[in-house]
Amino acid sequence: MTLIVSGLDAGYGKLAVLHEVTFEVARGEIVAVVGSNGAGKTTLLRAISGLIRPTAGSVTLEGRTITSKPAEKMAGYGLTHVPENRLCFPTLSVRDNLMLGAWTKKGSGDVDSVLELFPRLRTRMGQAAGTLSGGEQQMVAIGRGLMADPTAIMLDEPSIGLAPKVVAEIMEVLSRLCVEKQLAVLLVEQNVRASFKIAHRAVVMHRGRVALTGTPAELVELPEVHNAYLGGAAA
Amino acid sequence: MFTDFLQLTVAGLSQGSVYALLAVGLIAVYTVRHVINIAQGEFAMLAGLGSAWLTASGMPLFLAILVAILTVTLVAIAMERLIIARVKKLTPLTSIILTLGVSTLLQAIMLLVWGPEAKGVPLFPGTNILIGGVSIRSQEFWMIGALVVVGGGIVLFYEKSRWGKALRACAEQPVAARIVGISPVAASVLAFAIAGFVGAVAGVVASPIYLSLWSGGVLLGLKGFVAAVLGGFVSFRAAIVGALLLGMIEAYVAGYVGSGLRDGAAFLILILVLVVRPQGLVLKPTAVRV
Amino acid sequence: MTHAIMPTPVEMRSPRKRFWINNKGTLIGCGILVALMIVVPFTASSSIMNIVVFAMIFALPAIGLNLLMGLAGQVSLGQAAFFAIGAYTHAILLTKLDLPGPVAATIGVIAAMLVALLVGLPLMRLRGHYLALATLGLGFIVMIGVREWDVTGRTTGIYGISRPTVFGIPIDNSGFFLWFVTPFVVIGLILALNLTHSRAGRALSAVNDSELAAESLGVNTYALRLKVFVLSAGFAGLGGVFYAYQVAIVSPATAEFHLSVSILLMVVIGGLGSVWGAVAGAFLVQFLGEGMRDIIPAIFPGATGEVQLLGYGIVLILVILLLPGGLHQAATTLWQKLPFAGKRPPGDAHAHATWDDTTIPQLPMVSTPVAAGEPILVISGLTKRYGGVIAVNDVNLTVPAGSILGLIGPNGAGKTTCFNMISGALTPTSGTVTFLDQVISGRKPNVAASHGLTRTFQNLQVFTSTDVVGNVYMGRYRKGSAGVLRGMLGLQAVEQSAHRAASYEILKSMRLTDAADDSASDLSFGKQRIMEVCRALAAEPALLLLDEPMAGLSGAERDVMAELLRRLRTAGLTIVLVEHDVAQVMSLADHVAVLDDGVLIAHGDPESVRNDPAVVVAYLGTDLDEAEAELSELEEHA
Repeated sequence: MTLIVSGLDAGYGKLAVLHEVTFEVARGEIVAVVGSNGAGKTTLLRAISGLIRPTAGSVTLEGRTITSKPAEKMAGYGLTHVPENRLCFPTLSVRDNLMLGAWTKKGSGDVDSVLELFPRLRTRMGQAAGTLSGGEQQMVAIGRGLMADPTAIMLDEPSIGLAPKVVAEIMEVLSRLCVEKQLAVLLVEQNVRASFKIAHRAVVMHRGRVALTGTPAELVELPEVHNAYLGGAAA
Repeated sequence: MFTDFLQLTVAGLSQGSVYALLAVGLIAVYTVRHVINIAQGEFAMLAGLGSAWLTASGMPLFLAILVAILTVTLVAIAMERLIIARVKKLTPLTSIILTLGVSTLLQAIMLLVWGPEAKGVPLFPGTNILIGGVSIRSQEFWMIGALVVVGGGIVLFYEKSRWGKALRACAEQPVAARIVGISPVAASVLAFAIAGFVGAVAGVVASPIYLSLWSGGVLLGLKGFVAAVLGGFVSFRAAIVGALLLGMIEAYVAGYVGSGLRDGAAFLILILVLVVRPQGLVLKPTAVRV
Repeated sequence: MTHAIMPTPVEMRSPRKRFWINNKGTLIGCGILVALMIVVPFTASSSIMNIVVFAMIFALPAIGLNLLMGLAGQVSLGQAAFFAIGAYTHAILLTKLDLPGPVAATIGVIAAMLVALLVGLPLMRLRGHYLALATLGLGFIVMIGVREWDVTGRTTGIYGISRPTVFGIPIDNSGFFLWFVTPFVVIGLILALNLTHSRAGRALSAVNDSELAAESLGVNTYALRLKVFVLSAGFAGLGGVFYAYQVAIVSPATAEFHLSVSILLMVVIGGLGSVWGAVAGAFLVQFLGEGMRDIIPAIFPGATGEVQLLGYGIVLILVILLLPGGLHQAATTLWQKLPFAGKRPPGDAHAHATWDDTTIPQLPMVSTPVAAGEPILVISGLTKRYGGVIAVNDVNLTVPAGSILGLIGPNGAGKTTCFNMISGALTPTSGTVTFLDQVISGRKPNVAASHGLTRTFQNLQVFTSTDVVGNVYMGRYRKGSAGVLRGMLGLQAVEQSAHRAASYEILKSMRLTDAADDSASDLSFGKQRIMEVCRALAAEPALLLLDEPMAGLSGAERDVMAELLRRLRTAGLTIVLVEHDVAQVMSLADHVAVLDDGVLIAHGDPESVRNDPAVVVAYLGTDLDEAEAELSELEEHA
């Protein structure tokens, strides 16, 4: 197992958000994390990538304990985080954004393989990232994450604000990527259907805890999943 | 008549070049740390007084200047590591008081070491030129040249070099910059080092004409601040343009109105800009533009 | 169960006793200060006298700056400017126009305040760094101005200022001068202390903790800050008047930057926000400066000039690094370690816990300006654009009074943006929000608040520098009327105690009375949330906006909150809430509005919204046909 999260507690000051979160992601596997807002999905990724310090529990990546290590070290360990709202560097060109993704590799990054995945970016290399459309920015953000040649990649709601067609495109790329590079992919999504299409396993979170785990096929039938979102549609 | 105007313009441009370098230093620190370094002017005075003292003690001019610039850069880094980095939560209030403390301390040290009189570095080598009745001193070339070379160099650094882009990344998206692996500590140190470096260059290059004084940093720093505000505190280019404009306006005020009122121009401009157009000369208010 | 003996509440004792209890600290402190000042001229050497006199003179601008920095949270690096304006005006009027002392002095103070008003009107809108540097610039402008102007004597300044006479006695020695200054300092102290504890003072303190929350309770931050700025200048100007008398010469050096720095140091050493700290700081800095002037030339032979700056710089840095709260922090920490310090007996916390756990003892008051069912909030064409992105797209809603509206939608749907436009925290790109027939969109939150619209915050905006009851008390702001003037004069005791009593009542309704005196930041997250609701209710609103009120609450706490909201609705309060917990909203709300991608896709009663296929699509990301198929499947299974 590549990425192992065990008994993770985390929060913001007084507010405890995550409670005893435990799950694993293997190489070549996509694990989707779904749940309504306030379930703690973004907090989970922040806690794993070191942006906030967990108060309990551990995170290991390929055997190395990375709990509470500072966020800037994670890329070097092989863990990339594609954050919520993409967070591209707006005035820097697409090329520069991608090259910065290879920061821990002292600048020698495989731009070509990223462009193969996202051919749309080829014509935009010199353009300032802030001027791109949402979908293209998402591609840049994912590409930037890949430039570090990671073992594991975490994505926080990549489908937000994107048209279904673009979402499908991105999900397809993620799926291919996972297989080709044998990445461990942790995909946080609110768009259950899109993420379940490509995920091998899924984790349903509710109020900071892992409520359910299983394969998408198992989970999508369950009324609990429906409830977690809409509350009591099927009593 | 017209030659007077040109004469004043040249003086304004050279003085403005100094302000521009200081503004670059202020913006470099602010974009990465959100700290307005009140001690920026002291970097300039420290370098000026230091190199004046070294040359007076017999060191060759360019070696003295080099040593002074290097030392001040190290002082700036020390300021970051020993003082700024120690405060967990930097609010505008605490960062102002802190940098004010450093500024006051540096002033006092300069006063104790070099005394209350102004001192100047010897004029840099070069000849004065006379073009159409307008005399341009060689030192003024050096000053404008310093802006072109050093200031231009810094701008290029931010645009083309790996670390320059990293600094911009830190300024625009600090979270993503960390995630990508850029060390916030390294970025902060680098930003302060740049501030120390440009401040020192400005101080050294202006010293032969305008002299260096233990207490001169406050006013100089303020002028740099006005220029930085004209740059919206994000754009080097706009700040440089603003600084040159400020220098020229000051020269005209000194020449046509009265030399005592010269410094007042900067502050009136400051208050006008802050009240009427806080983003300064920047045309498109985008996140960060370097 | 034994009940601890509860002390008689302050409000219930005789007026004379009440005055003593409330002002104990101030009276004792002033007493000590006055006693010291009476004694010092008889016991101290002339050099010490000198230091003490200047300490008292500078205590005035220090108190003023402390009000500005501590209370209003704004840094001014130009306090010397107003000091100089006071000094110069006074000096000029004395020497050139031969006006009597008190008249010249009064005009001097007024001049400083007028300039502050002029300068403050545009500057008080600036934030933090910019204001600091603008005031720094102001200091230089004043210094250059007096240096270049004939009326102010150019570089020479104004000299030959004659000694004041009080009741015929000339104040011609330091001792008399000290006795002359002391009453003014004491009065200044009292006014400043009163202000700190007054409605205006608390409002400013709240603004420092959370400007958002304070404005949502009706505080007009800009106006208050401007008033304090002007006041602070007045204090500085008065200091300048005494300075002019003492030194008998006023020169451009009076407006020097280094003077502003030393006044700042006084405030920082004493501790931001502590009036007594400012006075203590004034003394400390004078002694420090004098000490440095003696010591440093001994260590560095030949050192002349402003050598005390070495000490000033080091102290400024060290205080921020090691003891940011200054002397005040040191004093309070020490005090708490003392055995006889006034700590509450441990049993106290549970003395009030006699309430029946399921009922709400007493409902907070609400205002009902509009009959139930009539429109109270009208949202029309509300749109918010950020560059090319449309966050909220042409939303139209009418909320009837006395009902609960739930606003739901997936992440990024624009709920919070919408919410913020209603509360005034955000200006719409187009469209209007009308509350009680007043257009509140595009106006600052305190405007809506003054009409009876309050809110809570998703990211808690607790006033951390006060206790729980203090937080709720701030909610009463819009029900009060005492301003800065009355605050300084201490003429609001009655109003304050009435509001305090009301605050306790509200805490009772949410069973937070046992935590009333706890520091707000010590409460658990869930209780902080409940406290925020109490605070909003303290304003007796007609409409309450709740931003994720259930997030972070335990099951039991949610039930209490839901019960409270229902009862409030029945009492006539209109509630609009944003919630992610859809189940909760469905059970609580009378109407539900669903936003997706900035567009209102559904609006109606919970049942019909829940079953609306478009809503299901929005949340689960399925497409419409599949969603309908799924729903019918689920219904078959049910």
